[in-house]
Amino acid sequence: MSERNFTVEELAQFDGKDGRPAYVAVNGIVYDATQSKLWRSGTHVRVHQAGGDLTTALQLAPHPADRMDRLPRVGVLSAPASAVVPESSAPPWYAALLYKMHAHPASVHFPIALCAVASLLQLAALVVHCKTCETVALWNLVLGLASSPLPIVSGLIDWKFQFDGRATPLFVWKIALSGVFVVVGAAALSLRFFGGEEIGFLYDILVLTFAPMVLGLGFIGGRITFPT
Amino acid sequence: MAKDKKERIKEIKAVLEVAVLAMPKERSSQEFYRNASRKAPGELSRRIFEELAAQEEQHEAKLKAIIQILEAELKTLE
Repeated sequence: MSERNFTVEELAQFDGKDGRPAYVAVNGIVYDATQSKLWRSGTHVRVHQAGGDLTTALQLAPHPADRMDRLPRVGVLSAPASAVVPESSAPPWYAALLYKMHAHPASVHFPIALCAVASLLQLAALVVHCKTCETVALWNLVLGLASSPLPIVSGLIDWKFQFDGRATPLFVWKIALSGVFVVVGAAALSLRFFGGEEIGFLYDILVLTFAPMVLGLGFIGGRITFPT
Repeated sequence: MAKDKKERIKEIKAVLEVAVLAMPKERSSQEFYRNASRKAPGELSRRIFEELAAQEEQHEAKLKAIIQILEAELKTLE
């Protein structure tokens, strides 16, 4: 007797819900889990859903793969998923080079240190009315911002190719904060060089925000590099 | 129920983050052992390093499988 051939779409109909049979595919074979107590309503251990190909999931299961043989076989799946998780594609040469040269960790400390110092000197300038402090703060800020493109670009490239560009909360925060850093930096310098005296306080405020901002960026970077 | 769902989403995201952060470490370890294997002075050490690299490769594959499964579950919850 020839076996029924399931397409992925056909298999998806057998999800075990609302009285429908619960079928699952493993290594190209479709099994009927409808009668199994472990597959009530088409769900197994609250995680796996009937109606799909569980080849990859079974590789990680805490039970042996031959446990599937206890279920009746009802057909085969056309174009089943590969039993092996696909190999990662090699990153392009520039991404590999930047990672190999540690471009991001090697360059990221410059804007962090320079901008933190800019904030501290600006605070000193405001508190003790030190004109030199204000000037040095400005040039620290200019250098800090000028040194930021390499860590930002290399950080984005590392994220894309080393972490597969997955937007987990840490990366979302880091990218968002980096964007704020650039915008606030551009705004601060525009105010300093093109703004009038009357809005000088805005420049002061923006420069003071750099210390917490770069500390935040450094903290997130630390969590990514040295996860606990 | 809604609270359970929220908790589960939070849990999945936390585990996903662990798996994502671990991936480059597994890749670096593979490269590290492969380099060591190329420089190994003898056949035995070369094979040991190759074996270690293969184990790291397996870890990466498992992490990817975990990510795949969790992302699929997250999709059904969100």
